[in-house]
This record gives sequence, C-alpha cells and structure tokens, in this order.
Amino acid sequence: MLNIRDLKIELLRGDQAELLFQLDELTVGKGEVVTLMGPSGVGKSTLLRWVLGEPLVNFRIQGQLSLNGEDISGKSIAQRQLGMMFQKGGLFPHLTIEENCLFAQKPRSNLHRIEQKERALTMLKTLGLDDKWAVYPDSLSGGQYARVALLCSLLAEPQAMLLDEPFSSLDAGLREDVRQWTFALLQEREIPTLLVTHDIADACGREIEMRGENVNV
Amino acid sequence: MVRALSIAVWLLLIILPVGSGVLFLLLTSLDAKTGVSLAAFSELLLGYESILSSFALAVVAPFVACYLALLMAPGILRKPRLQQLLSPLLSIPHVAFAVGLMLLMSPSGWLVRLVEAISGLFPVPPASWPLPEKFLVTVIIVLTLKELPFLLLMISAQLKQLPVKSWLVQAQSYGYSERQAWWRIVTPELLRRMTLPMAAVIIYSLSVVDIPLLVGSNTPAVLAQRVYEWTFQFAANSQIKAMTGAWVLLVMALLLLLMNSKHSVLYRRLVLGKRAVTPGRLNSDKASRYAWGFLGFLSFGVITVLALQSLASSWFYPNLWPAALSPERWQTEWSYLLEPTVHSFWLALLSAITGTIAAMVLLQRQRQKAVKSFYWPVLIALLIPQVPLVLGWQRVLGQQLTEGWQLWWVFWSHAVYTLPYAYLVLHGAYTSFNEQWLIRAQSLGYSARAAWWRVMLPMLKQPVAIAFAVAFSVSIAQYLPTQWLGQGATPTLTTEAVSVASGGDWRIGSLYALLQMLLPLLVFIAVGGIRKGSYAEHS
Repeated sequence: MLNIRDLKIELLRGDQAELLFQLDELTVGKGEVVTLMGPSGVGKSTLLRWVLGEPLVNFRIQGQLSLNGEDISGKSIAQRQLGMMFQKGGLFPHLTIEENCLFAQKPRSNLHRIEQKERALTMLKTLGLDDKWAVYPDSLSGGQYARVALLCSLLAEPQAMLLDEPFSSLDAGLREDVRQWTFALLQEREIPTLLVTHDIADACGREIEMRGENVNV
Repeated sequence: MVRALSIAVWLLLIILPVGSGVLFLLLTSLDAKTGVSLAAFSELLLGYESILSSFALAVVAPFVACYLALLMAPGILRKPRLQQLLSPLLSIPHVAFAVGLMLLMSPSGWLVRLVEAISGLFPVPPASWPLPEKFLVTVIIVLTLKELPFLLLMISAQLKQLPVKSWLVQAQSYGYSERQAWWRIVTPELLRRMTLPMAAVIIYSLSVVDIPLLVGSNTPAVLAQRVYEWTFQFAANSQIKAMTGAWVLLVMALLLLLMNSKHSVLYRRLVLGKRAVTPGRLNSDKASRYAWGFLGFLSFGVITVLALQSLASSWFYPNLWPAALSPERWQTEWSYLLEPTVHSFWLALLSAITGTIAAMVLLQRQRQKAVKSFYWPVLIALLIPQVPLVLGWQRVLGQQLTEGWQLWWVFWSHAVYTLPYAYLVLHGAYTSFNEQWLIRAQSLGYSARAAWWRVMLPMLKQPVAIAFAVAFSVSIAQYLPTQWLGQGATPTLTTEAVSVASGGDWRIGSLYALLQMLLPLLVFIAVGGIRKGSYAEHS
C-alpha cells in the first residue's frame, strides 16, 4: 500500500515560491491503480518524481510518503523499491534484452544467475518474445519495447509502480492492447500503481483530477 | 562545392600525408644500406628495456588517465561549470606542464621547499624523492595528468549525447546506488564511445618524444626517444637502427590498438557479470571531489610557479620564495624569445584555422550524406605513431626541406594534426544540429547557403571556437614535425623549451614554457567569451 500525506509542492523562482498544489492524503491499495489526470505543468510528473525519490532542485516539497506502513520519505531511490515506467526509455539501449533483464534483477534478487535467467526467459516466453533475448532494444517494435520495459521493472521486485504517460509514444492500434496487458499484469501481482497522464483514454482505476492548487481525493 | 572541398581535405590532409609517410617508410625500409635489418632488430630486442618502458608508458598513462576521468566525470554532471576548468588545463602544452610540474614537485621543487620550511625535514633536496627529474614514472605522471583534461573533455561531450540522468534514476529504481549505477550502466557505454579518443591518447603516449627528453630516464630511454636520437646520428648503423625502431613502434601500436579495441568489451563483461552489489570501499564521490580539487590546484600551481621562476632573480634551495623579482631575465632573453614566439603564433593560427575549416568541411559533407556517426579514418594520423610517420615525411620530402620551404611544410604537418582534434571536438555539436533551424530559415526565404551562414554558423560558434582553441594548442605543442621538417630553420617555443630545459636549465626553460602556455591560454580565454547565441543555449 502506497500512502502520501500532507504533500505540498512549490515551484521556486528565485526567492519566490509558487504553490503548485497540495494534497491532504492519497492511498493506493494493493493491486489498485490510481490515475492522476490534469493538463501539462500542473505538477503531475513532479509528484511522481518526488515519490520515486529524485532530487528536484527547483522545487520545495514537504510531505510524508509510506510504503506498506513504513515511512520511506528519507530513503534513497535504490532503497524505496518503487518500479518506474516513463514515457521514454526504460530499457538501456546499450544492453541486450538479456543483459537488461539480468541487470534489473541483480541488486534485489536472491536467485542464482541461472535462475534469474530462467525467470526472465519464462516471462519473455509468455509474451512470445523469447527470440528477442539476444537483441538490442532498438530492434524491438513499440509494443514489444513497452512490454519488455515493464517486464524489467517487475523483475526488480517493486513494491509499487509509478507510470508517467507510459503509452503516449505508442500508436493508436497498439496503445489499447499494451494498456490492458499492463494493468492486468499489475493487478494480478497486486502491485499498487500510480499513473500520471493527460489523456483520459489511458486512465485506469480511481481517477483524480489535478486542477488548481488543492487536489481533492 | 562542399564535395570538392571535402575531396581536397581528404587528399591533402589525410590520404597523402598518411599514405606517403607509411609508403615511403616501407620503401626506404627495403634499402640495402639503411633499411631494416635483422641484426638491428635482434639488438633492439636484446635491449628490451626500451620496448618495455615504451609499452608501460603507452598502457599506464592512458588507462590511469581514463579511469581518473571516469571517476571525476560525475562531477561534471552535478556541476557543469567544472568544464570551464578544463579549458585552462587543456591550454597548457605538455612541455610547459612538465616544466611547471618539475618546478613544483621535483626534489628541489616548491612542495619540498614548503615541507622543509614547515618541518625542517629536508635541509638538502631528498635523494629518494618519488618524483625525480629523470625517471620513467615522472614521464608517466606528466602524461597522465595532461591526458586527463582531454579525456574529460571527450567524456563531457559524450555525456551531453546520452540520457545519463534518466539511466541513473532507472538503475537506482532497480536497487543500485548512484555510484554503482554510474560504474555499471554509464561507464560501459562511455568506454565504448571513448575507444577512438583513447586510441589517440595511447598512440601519442607510445610515440611522444619531447616529454621523455625533458623528464625521462636516459638509461634506457623509451624507444621513440631512441629512434629520434638515432636519426640525428649520420652513421649508417644508426640509420638502420632508427628505421628498425620505427617499425617496432608501428607493430607495438598495432598491438596496443587491438588491446584498446577490446577494453570496453572486457570492462562490460567484468562489470555486468559481477554478482555482488555491495558498495565498494572507495568512496568515489569523495575521491572525485579531491581529484577535481587537486587538478585545480595543480593548474594554478603550475602557472604560478612558472611565472615566479621566470621573474626570480635568484631562488636557491631551500628558499620558499625568490629573493627578489625582476623582469631582467625577460629583458635579456627577449631577443632570443621573439623568433620562436612569432613562429609558434603564426603556425598555430594558420594551422588551427586550416584544421577547423577542414573539419567543418568534412562534417558538412557528412550532414549532406546524412551520416551522423563518427568517421574514424579522419583520425588516422593520430592512430599511427608520430615517429615513423614523420620519419616517412622527412624521407619523402628530402631536398624540399633544405630549399627554404621548411616553414610551409611545418605548417602543413601541423594542419595534419589539428584537423583530427578539431573534428573530435566539433563532431557532436555539428552532427546533432537540429535541421529544423535551417528549414525554418529557408522557409523565411534564405537560400541553403545563406541559412548556413546566418543561422547554423552563428549557433555553432561556441563549439567552433573551442575546436579552434584546441587545434591552436595542438599546433603549439607539436615537437617532432617541427623539429624534423623544420630542420632547425623554424624554431618554436616548444622546440626551444625542450632544448633549453632538457639541458637542465629550468630557469630559462620557464620563460619558454610560460610563453608556450600563454598563447593558447589567451585563445581559450577569448573563446570563453563566446557564449551568447550558441547552440547550447538554444537547445
């Protein structure tokens, strides 16, 4: 369960601080998907990057963040165990799919290297992409890329997922297909998911509209 | 027109110099009287210390510099302003740097004097000081420290082309620390992209002559230095040895290039195959900060100590400061300094302009052909050791070099070396220039040529100016082509600094070294002023 409390995000412009928005409390339960909607510049991505633990130099942010009851506000990105899937990237372009999959598992998995390999291959097989094992990400199609990127994030055993416009680079035909597959997989694994988008078609689960300074949940 | 110009650049500055140099070396090697001989070859192998020293120099200095640069590079990500420190460092030519470093760190250098002044430990210069004046380790340290800013500049150019920050965040979301993410994800890719700059640095270290002449050991000297010295001995035996030594250098270069090509693959295999993810003992963030501080201190120290020494009327050991400062030495030496300064300035100016324009012609041709990748044959002159290559030119030109054309041939040889460096510096900015700007200008009614002059060139003026400044300092630092093709008729600050300082006169040497450093430094300072309207600000 992911919980955000008393969050206040301000944008710093020189000595001035401009309030972007504040949020009293937001809880994302097990297997639940919460969609934050709103126009560009409202602070959706900033919220997501703060949850991830990225240092944000031009912002002043106050708030508490807990994951499964544990306060993780002071933890580094590596310690938070949050998976991410952003609009661009997700797979390291200079590593093969195999290397990407193994790289994602190494820090947290207790499995032996061969078992890690088998686990990744099994997941790839369910997608029918096991023949892409040795290729580089640039040879994947848009849909294949998005699926393998999510798969790598899941191999890192996240306790919650953060998605920032994850489908916006896909063409219309693929988009719905990948969207359904992604949410089904996340719900099946009971992973709390926070999704940020400006496109209603991408939304899923509980929807929260971000407009103005106060966000009502 | 660009096509015709690019063919001319290829012919005059790449194919002809490299082709003729290597071909003529090959032909003269077969000469029965002065060609390569088996006896000379086995003699060289028997005196293997020279080969080993050369090998150690060409491996240790570049690779230590490379990993130091990788350790320091995250600093550039955090504080991009650190890049500004690279310019003055790059502008210090190797020879000036070596002279300054000796004045700072040799057994009778300023640091030992400082220790003596504080503790009274060294009433006389220490005999077992780790940085003696004539020692292979000293050469390695000088080359490492001088290659470091160049590699940092190359890495910072690559960092701008990679989404490094998002890679680091992504890897951290998998559970890696930022430091681990740097060494495991960013470094393998950087090393792959650094293969060519590293090759240039390795080959330079293998064939460098001026630094070993200044601070290297003579017992035995590195192979490049010995070949250089043999060519000045007119006995047939020495000529045979020089020719054979040149070929040994070529073979060593091949081996080293092969080794370098496997470097990134080996690193990647080691680091991605490594299971444990425990943080290393070395706190690389702290080490990186110390390294930047040390580099800053060193460049400031080198410039200060050179300036002080040039103005010191007397400065005997163990005095921390000169007894008095006076411009007397400048006044007495000025008549000797003027000619090399003028030669250095004009050679550097003309060859840097030529090299930069030639690099732009080649890059423009690449844009026309929509080829963005790095075209390595442009760097071929940097991938062949200078000793055999320039020896080949010397043999090809023969009589031409004694008929008053020396200055032009020296200019041409400098341009051969300024082109690849200008290309290295300009490549990223030029090939990634957004075509939309040109299209927008043309939509306003400008011709393609006018759009290039009015939009592209002004927007790229900063990288072009930096390429010019780097090319300028490359020309200033050229020793071997100036010495061999100039035949003594084109003394420059570099050739004079080496001949004065290698004789042990650091005081007079400091004048030449200071001037040798000041010329490129002034160019770098002028270039630093060109910021407004650069592509970096528009993108």
